[in-house]
Amino acid sequence: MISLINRYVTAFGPSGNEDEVRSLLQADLKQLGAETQIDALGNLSCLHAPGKDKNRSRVLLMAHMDEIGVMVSHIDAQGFCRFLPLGGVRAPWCVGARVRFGNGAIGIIGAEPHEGSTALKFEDLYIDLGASDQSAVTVNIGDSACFDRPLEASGQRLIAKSLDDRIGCVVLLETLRRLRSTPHAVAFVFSVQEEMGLRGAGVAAFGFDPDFGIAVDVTRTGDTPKARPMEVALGKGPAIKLRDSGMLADPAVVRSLRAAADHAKVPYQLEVLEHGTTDARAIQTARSGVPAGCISIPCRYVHTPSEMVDMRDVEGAIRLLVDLLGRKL
Amino acid sequence: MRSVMKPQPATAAGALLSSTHRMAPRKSIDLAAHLMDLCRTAGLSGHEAPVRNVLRRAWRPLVDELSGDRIGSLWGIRRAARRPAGRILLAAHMDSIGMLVTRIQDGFLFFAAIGGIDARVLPGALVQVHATRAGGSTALPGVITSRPPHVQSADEKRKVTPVHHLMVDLGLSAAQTARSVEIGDLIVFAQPPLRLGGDLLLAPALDNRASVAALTGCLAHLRGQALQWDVVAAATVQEEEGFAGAYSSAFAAQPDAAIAIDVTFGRQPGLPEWKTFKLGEGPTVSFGPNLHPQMGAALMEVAAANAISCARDVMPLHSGTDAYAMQVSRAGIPCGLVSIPLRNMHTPVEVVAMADVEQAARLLAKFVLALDGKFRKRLKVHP
Repeated sequence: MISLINRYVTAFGPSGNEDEVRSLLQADLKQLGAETQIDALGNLSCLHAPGKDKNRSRVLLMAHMDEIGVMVSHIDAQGFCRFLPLGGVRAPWCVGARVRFGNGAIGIIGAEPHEGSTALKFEDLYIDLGASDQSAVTVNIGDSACFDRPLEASGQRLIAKSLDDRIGCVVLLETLRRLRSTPHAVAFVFSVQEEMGLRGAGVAAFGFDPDFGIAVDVTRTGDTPKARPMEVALGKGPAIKLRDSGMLADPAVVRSLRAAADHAKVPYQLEVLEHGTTDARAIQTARSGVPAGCISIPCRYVHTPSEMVDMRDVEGAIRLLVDLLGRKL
Repeated sequence: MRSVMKPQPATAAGALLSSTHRMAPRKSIDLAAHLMDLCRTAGLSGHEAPVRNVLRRAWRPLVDELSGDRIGSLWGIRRAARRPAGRILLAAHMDSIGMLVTRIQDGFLFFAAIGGIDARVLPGALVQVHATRAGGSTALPGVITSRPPHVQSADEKRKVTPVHHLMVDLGLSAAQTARSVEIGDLIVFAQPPLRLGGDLLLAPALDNRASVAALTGCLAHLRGQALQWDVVAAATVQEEEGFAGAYSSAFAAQPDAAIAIDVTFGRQPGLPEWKTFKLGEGPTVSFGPNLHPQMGAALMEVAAANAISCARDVMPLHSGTDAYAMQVSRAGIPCGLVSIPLRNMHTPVEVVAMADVEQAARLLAKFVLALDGKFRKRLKVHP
């Protein structure tokens, strides 16, 4: 599974440029014998609906393909590129980071000399592609880049860029691979532009019109020095979301997720996240409302070039989902 | 995994066709008692079941049918006497702000806010913790701790303590607390409803139970009256956390027009006059980009024709109400906004005047009775 995760986290996929990730998923889903569809916004979906029962529930599982990144806004005469964030990137985390463009060009993020007590702003930063002047720059205004880092494994812990939310994509893939039978019609949806405000999730949920919706995404943890109080830690199992700043999970969905975890003997944590939200918010308000919840993979350093998750939590999330889908809800 | 309510068809048209319920004979409703009932009942955003049950009982005799959207909003439906000339959605959110447990440490509970709670008034507030492990519905009494002034630094005295530094003290040992409480348990204000001097009522959750009570009052006024439009009175869910119930109810009900009922700022010394309204001088009607100018104008006309005192409330930006979500549902819905002035918003001691609740109820009822075959056409005119 590590090599599978490696392929997904090293792929290029800033919001709006999900093609490479989508192609990887299409190939892997085809190998599983699944048929896929792509909607007008680029969401990739795969309907798994064995049997012919007309009254079965329609269940939506969703993970997003896109990752945070940067977009070039100006190129000066010396060839330095100014840029804007795509999604929740913070300027102080960018300094010294390497970025990769769709054409393979690599740049590093430099900062102007910075004094005083104010935090670094994006205006203070630039991308240096090593070009001698503007004419040698191989990227254009409007081109996007992702952070460029290899995956590292340290015991059970994985460190990589874009674990938010490629790890969710892998969880969905593995769930489909291991799913033996289900009484439901299940749509596995890989959404676009989550980091830009859940742009893909809303239309995908409208299109499928589910009875229940569950997002799989990462969440922050409270297990680092001086972290804000938060009762989620790496390695203690997947987190079942109760609320985040955009959504209150449906109490009945939470009950079902907890029952599945207990039944599959998967240790789990309960999550209350104060800042941030997931595709589940957009699913919840689709059409006339969808009871929605979220399974979170605890993740340290979310939205930095090096995010960290624990494989035991990933494995637990897959087992929880396989159990949930295998039974009546 | 089942919604607390049977899923409804995506369009309400089917649900609106057949009458299943005969209305009880007319009798007057004690709105103040009803509102105090609503305020005594828990119903935090996302967990509205208790208040929904109270409301279901109150609305059953007033409507043709009870129904709802798929995420818990409650609908009381009144049907037009003949083929309906239109359908109006009246939406008041029933959820309230509150807190939930994020961490248990040495017998104390850390918590996060649900909705925009005013952190300045939290230290010392009495609360109830709905402790899951102590049997679900058991509400344990507790208090939000505060650091004594004697040990505060000069700097600390000038600042508001952030919510994530506050704790609830249940008076239980660490072991007892861990046995009864778990992460995500709900915390509600324990302040009981109170009649203040004159016509004023004090309670937590008056935002927006005051408007829900006005909706009940409106349905009571409409009982036995022949209507030209279908009416969907909706007590929506999760307004305080992103308007979820307004999105879903507006989509499912597919109305021709909608009115949100919410609270606005009550006047008191030190607040700007242009955005505050004196308690007891009637509800307000809002004007602004979230709202359709014809809805505002029609509401003001109805108020004038029925001697209902009613001020204009200017909302140049996001109205912060269900109207924001309903306006962009489907192909767009013309929205109005009726508000009840309220003091001390988002604290456990919110205050309204009962006269304003009653006048809001009358205004809504008179507006619904004035809806005729021509009103849909009027909504197409943008002055």
